[in-house]
Order: sequence, then C-alpha cells, then structure tokens
Amino acid sequence: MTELQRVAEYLVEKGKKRGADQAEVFIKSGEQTTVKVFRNEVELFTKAGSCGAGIRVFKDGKLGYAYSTMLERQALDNLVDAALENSGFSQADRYMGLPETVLSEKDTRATSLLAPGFDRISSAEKIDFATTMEKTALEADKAVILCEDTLYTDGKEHVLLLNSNGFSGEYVNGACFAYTSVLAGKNDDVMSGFAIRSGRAMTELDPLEIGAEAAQQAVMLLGAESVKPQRTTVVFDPVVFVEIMMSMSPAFSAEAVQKGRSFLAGHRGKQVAAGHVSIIDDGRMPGGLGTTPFDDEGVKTQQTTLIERGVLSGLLYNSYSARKDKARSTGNASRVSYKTPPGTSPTNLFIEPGATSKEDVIRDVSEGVYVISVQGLHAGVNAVTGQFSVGAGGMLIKDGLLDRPVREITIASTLPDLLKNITVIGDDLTFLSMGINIGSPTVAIEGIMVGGR
Amino acid sequence: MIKEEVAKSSLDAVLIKGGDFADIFAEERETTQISLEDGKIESFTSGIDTGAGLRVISADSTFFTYTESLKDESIMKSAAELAEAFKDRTPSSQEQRIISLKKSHPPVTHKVLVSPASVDRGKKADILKRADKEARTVSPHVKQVTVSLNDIIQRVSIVNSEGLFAQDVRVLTRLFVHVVAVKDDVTKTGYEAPGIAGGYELFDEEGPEGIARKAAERAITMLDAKPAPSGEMPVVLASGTSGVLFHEACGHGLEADAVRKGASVFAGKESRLIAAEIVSAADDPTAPNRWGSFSFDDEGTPAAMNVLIENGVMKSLMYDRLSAFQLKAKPTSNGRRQSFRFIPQPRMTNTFIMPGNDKKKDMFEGIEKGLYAVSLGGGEVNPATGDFVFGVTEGYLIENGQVKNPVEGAVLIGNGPRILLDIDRIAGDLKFDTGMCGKGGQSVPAGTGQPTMRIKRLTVGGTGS
Repeated sequence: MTELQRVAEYLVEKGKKRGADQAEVFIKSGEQTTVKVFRNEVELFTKAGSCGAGIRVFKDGKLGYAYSTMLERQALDNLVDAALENSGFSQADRYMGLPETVLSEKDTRATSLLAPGFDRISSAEKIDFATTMEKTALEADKAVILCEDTLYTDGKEHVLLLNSNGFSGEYVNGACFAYTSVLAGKNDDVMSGFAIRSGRAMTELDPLEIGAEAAQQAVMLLGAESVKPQRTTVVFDPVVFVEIMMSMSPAFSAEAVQKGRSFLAGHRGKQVAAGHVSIIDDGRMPGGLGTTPFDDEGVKTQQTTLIERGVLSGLLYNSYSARKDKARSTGNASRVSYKTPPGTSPTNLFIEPGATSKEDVIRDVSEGVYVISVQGLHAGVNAVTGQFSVGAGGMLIKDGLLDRPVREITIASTLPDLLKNITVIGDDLTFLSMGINIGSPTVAIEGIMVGGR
Repeated sequence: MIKEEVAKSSLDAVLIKGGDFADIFAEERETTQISLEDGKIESFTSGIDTGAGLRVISADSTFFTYTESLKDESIMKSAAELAEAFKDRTPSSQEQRIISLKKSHPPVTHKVLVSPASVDRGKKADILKRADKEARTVSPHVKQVTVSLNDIIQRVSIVNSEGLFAQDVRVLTRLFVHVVAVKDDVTKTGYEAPGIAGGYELFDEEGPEGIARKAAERAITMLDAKPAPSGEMPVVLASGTSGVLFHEACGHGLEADAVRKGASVFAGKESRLIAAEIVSAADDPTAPNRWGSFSFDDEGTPAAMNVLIENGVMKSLMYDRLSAFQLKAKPTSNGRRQSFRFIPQPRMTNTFIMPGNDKKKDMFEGIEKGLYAVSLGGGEVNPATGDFVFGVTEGYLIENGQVKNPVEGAVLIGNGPRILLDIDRIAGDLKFDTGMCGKGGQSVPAGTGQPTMRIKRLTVGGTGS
C-alpha cells in the first residue's frame, strides 16, 4: 500500500468512527513544469510538486467538507473533525450521498492514461520548444514586433479516490499546453495575435505551427477597422467556438437545469438547435484530455448525447442530480481540485463535425464576418439567461472570400438563437483543453447582430 | 512560520550557484467557504493550505519552485533543488551570503474588528440564510438564489537575500449573492459581491439583507429591459462598479511588466499627457480595510499610495521588484501573487479615478441618445493595443438628457487610451467595488473605484438599433 492510500484509508475509517454515515476521500498529487521565454531567454522556469486531500462526509443527509495540504496524523484527525463539524451546519437533503455503484477492478485500476514518453521529456527540451515557438513567430513576418508571452506548461496528476461504500480507485493523467501571443505593427497600428494548443504530451504539439499561426493572426489584423452595425452571418473559427461552448457548457448540467439556472431548463426532448447539430460528451474518448476511467466521485465515465440532431436529448449528471431526477449518473461529477466537493462538468464535449471544409464554409457566405478572436466571454455570455454579446476581431467576408480585417466590433445574439441558426458545420473538429476539453469545427451562424461604429 | 536560521541558510543555498536575488514567501491560509442554493446550505467547507515559494532571479530570468510543507527540512530541500535547476541555465556570478535579516515595520495595519476565527459556524450559516430569505421577499419573480460566503486568514512571512524580513496577516471576507428572476419567458440575473480586507464587520453597515436586496432588485429591473442599441454614443458610467473599466482598459497597461516588454500602449509615455486634464488616478493598498489592501505586498515592499495619472499626465507605473529593477525604478508595493504556488507579478491593489468637480445631474445634459451603465460585469482588455470589451449587467437608455428604460445585452467596446482622452465630465461621488483580477493564470483580490463620469463617445454593441 502506498503512503497516500494509507492516508485515504485512515481518513475514511476515522470519518466513520467519528460518526459519519458516509465518508469519501479525494487526493490529488502532481508535478508541474512551466517555461516562459522572452527574447530568446528563459523568463521563467518553474518546477514543483503538490499534494492535497479533501474529505466529504455525510451525516443525517448533511454534507460537510474539509481539505488540507498537511497530511500528518494530527492534521488528518483535525481534517475529519472539521468536516464533521461543518456537516452540522449544512441542511439535510435526501438526495445527498455517495454514489451506490461499485466499479469493477478493471475500471478502477486502469491506471496510467499518461502519454508514452511523457516522463522522458527533459526541461531543456521544454525550453527549446518554447524558444522555437517564439522564434518562429518573430521570423514569420517583418511586421512582427515581439512575442509578449510565450509559454509551455505540462503537468502530471495522480488522482486517488476512496469511499466508505467500497469504492477505491486511482489513475495517473498528464496534459500540456503551449501558447504565444504576438504583437505586429505597421504605421502606428499595433495588433495582437494568439495561438494555443493542448495535448497529452509535448510530442503531440508543433511549436512551428503555434508560432506561425499567432504571427499570421496579428499580421492579418493590421489595418483593421470597425464596421457599421448590421445583422449578418458570422463564421466562427473552431478555437473561438470552443471558447463559446466553454461559456455555454454549464447549461448542460442537470443540476443547473433542476435549479432553474440554465437557459435549457424545460427544453428536454425539444428542438433547441438546428436539425443538423449534435453535441456529445464522451468521458471515454480515446486520447481525450478529459478522459478518465471514473469521475470525481467514483462513477464510471460514459458517452452521453446532449443534443441529437437539434433535440435536447440528454444532460450531465452527478449522483446528486441523478437521484433528484430518478436518473442514472452520467459520470460527470467533477471538482476543480481537492478543495471542493464535486459539482458537474463535461469531460470531452464536442460538436459533431460536418463534411464541409473551412474554405467551403466561407465560400458559401456572400456577406459576413469571419471571427478569429472574441473578448469578454465571462461577462458577455450568460448560461442562465442565454444572453450572448461579446467583442470580436476577424475578417470581413465578401462574396465567399476574406476581405478586410475588422476590430472593435461586437457580436450579439442569444445562446438559443446561436444554436438554432447554425447553417453550416465544418469538417475540421479541433479540441482545446482549458480546464475542460472541448471540441468544435468551423461553424457558420446566420442572423447575428454585429455592432460597430 | 519560517525560522530565521532556516531562511538564511535556504537563501544561501539557493544563491550558492549564483544569481542576483532570492526570496522565500511562506504562507498559511485558512479558509471557510459556505454555499447555499435552493434555500438550503448545500456545502460547508473549511481548509488549510500551507507552503513556501522560493525564487531566484538572475538577470531577466526567474527560477521558481514551491513546497507544501513549512518544515525546516522541506524548505531546505526545495532550496537545494532550486539551486540545481538554476545551475543548468546560468553561470555563477559572485558568491553572496545573507548576513542578517532585518524585520520590517508595517507602514499601515488594517484592523480586523470581528475576526472570522471568532465567528462560530452557525452564525456564518445564518448570514447565508438571511440573504436568501430577503432576496426571495423582493418579488415573486425571484426564482433562484445562490449565496456564497468566503473568509480567508492568510499569514505570510517574506524573506529575501537583501536581508528583508516582513510579516503580514491578511483577512478577507466576502459575500456573493446571485439571483435569477423569471417573468413569462424572460430570465434575468443580478448579483452583488461586497468584500473587505477585514472580518465580519463587513455586515455592520449593510446586513446580508441589504446586499441580497440589491442583487434581487437588479435582476427584477432587468426583466423589463429592452434590447440595447448598437452604435457609437455618449456613455455615462455610474460610480462604483464601473471602476472596473479603468482597471481593465488602462490599469493593466500601467503595470510595469507589460511596459518593460513594449507590450503596453503606455510604454514610453511617462510625463506625457495620456488623459483628459480632469483625470487623475491612483493605486492605493493603504486604504483602511479596502478589498485590495495590505500592509506589505507579497515581496515585502511596504504598502504605499501610488499616483498613476495626475491632471491627465502619466506619473508612475505599478512595479514589482523585478520590473522595477529592469526599468531602474523603485518597487511600488504592487508585487502580488495568488499564493506561494505562484511568482509575484506587478498587480493593481485598489485602483481608482479621483473625484472631479462636476455635478451628477449634469452628466446626462445634452445627450440625445446614449447609455447609462450602472453595473459592469467585468471584461477583458488587450494591454498591447488597449482594446477592451465590457458587458453591461445593468444599463439604461439615455434619451434627450433623461434616463429611460433599462436595456439588456449591452457591450461596451473601445480603446483604453482613447477613452481616457474622451472623458469629459467627472462627478465627486467616488465609490469602490470589489473583484478578483486575473492575470498570467493568477487571481488576486482587487478593489476598483470611480466617481460617476461621462465618456463623449464609445461603441455600444447590442441586438437593438
């Protein structure tokens, strides 16, 4: 038995002994490396390991939670006491409790999801990767002035979950991402470009591609101006639509629907998107950055269709929201860290791709805007009310071709209208993981209000 | 938290392979987080987070690690590992030894009247229940109320290779009330989230009821909102929450790291006119118990007020130690970090526009068609270009000098340096608000402040015409 397994068992036993009806321990440990470069020098090199434990107890239907980074005996005893004492002040809820299902050995000891070779990548190679991104961007075009931030980071994490219902499981996972943000200038005009990629290991990413894309974006936007307010078709770059789906995704949580804080509440079984739109969450997608054998409370992950040909056919459940709806958990219990009890979150969420290439999606548009960056998502997208209005930058589309660059424009609609007015879906499904792994192809949506001067 | 002897020998160990500067930031953080939804306290969480971050700087390069244990041997081990990682990259400069540490005296202290540690759990839970109850009495249209209460006691010790030894205790308390209102087919939300660098005296002035009522009233008001207009128009920004606009659109560009890289629109603009002459602005961590206040910043620099813009002229940037060293300036108590797991960066504390001489009632005068933004929902800025975007969570149409119906879905979009020049009226009613500011993957508490003021022209994006 490892040291962490002993800690987890001690906590669960102690919790039961001190009077908890149910107890669950979630331990996450890991190691992270971050490299930032600026002007061909290492600006920052960080390497550190971390480990913490959270305990969830239920007593008389009431939830108590406590966490700590200190895992010595005395600290563990205090942790159990704190969780139990905390439970005395939350309110009883008959849907609260641990999941009933106990998984088979093969689902819980599945162990390493780490990409082959993850551990063999040296610090020097990581620094080289970041340096290459920066160099590529700087040399891509005369107009490129500098790379403001160039970063590579990767992390490995070990999740251990144990509960008093007999669940015991652990796995090791790893992920990395890299980005660069570029400034380009010409005649007093300065524009920025940004490119980001995520993967399971550095070997899956191409520094040349990231550097070139960021530079190209900044250069392409030089000379951008605003546009007159108009209602028009907007073509979203995959990465941009990933960000929008990220803001929209809380609405797919069954708990949000049950509590009336989802714009999809009351629409189960109804048409909520254009007939050719399907949205899927797949917790077992091979190679997906959100793939795990079990969720953050020990339920087996699965594939769940949320929107099937435009109809809202499913929602994301954890054990709590599932009990409330007399449904089964979809294995979407999730926690940001050991510091919080599980909520609900997608695993690998994506729009099913169509058959049209990006070029053809644009070629189909006689007048519109191709959006390559959006700003203000956290204030401008409201998954409760469905409000959608954000700032954007990109290119005007005229007669199926990219015309001039635009900046300082706003795009406004509602989330229901966005989903219903999707006219074309591209074939270029692209995943990006920023906490949640989300995938989208190029998407064209008609009837969006574009604001400007 | 960290023994003087351990600190000294760790710093020596870090610098043994060279380097210009090293520091250790040790931290103990106790938090309580309670959340209520559907009328019930759903979770009650308490936590302890401890550790130390160790950093060494050589020329423009920073090498960093942290340990989650404050035991002597853990800190010593991290110091040795950091020296090894560092050795691979940069040749040794001259050898340094830390002779002695000198304890710094805090320039200001923020007195905590009711420490979170002294308030029992039941009383904390009651605060959420009271807020929930009050929000639901505001209107039958209130359909959901989410309340969360957070308190933090953060003890820090900071030592560095120049012999600095500073200690600080930061106490933060914040209540967050989020209300969903539904009428017919329309759903709207409203929230309030006041907080102080202090304890439960937060609720002395305005109980949880008052805070909840404001959130509920905002959601109810917005139920009758019409689509916001789009186009360029004058915008009046109400005092208080609109301060976040200056924070985002200008404040980030005045942080010295962006300027150092040439990635700020304000690079090279010192002593130049960058704003209308009626505009003065400052950053102030000394303001008693304000959300972004402290006694020392996270590098041990004593808190001090820093005037950024005076009568339209740019006076100072906001520096941490590294950017100050790089730009040959003095650190300005803006070196802040989310926790021991992160490196310090130049960050705002409480940033505000100073009060002006205009009357609030004159703000709307002469506006044929414009927007009155009462509450902004946060936004985003590109410091390199100054381009920003803001969502308006509570806004009203201005027509012929009169404030008219509420509008929904308004977004303000513009350019920081340009709006600084376009401010044409500033009232005397300075008010502050609280927020969490994100930068470089780190989040820190930041206060924002602003009197009511008018911007001659700004692009508003909405779905209406």
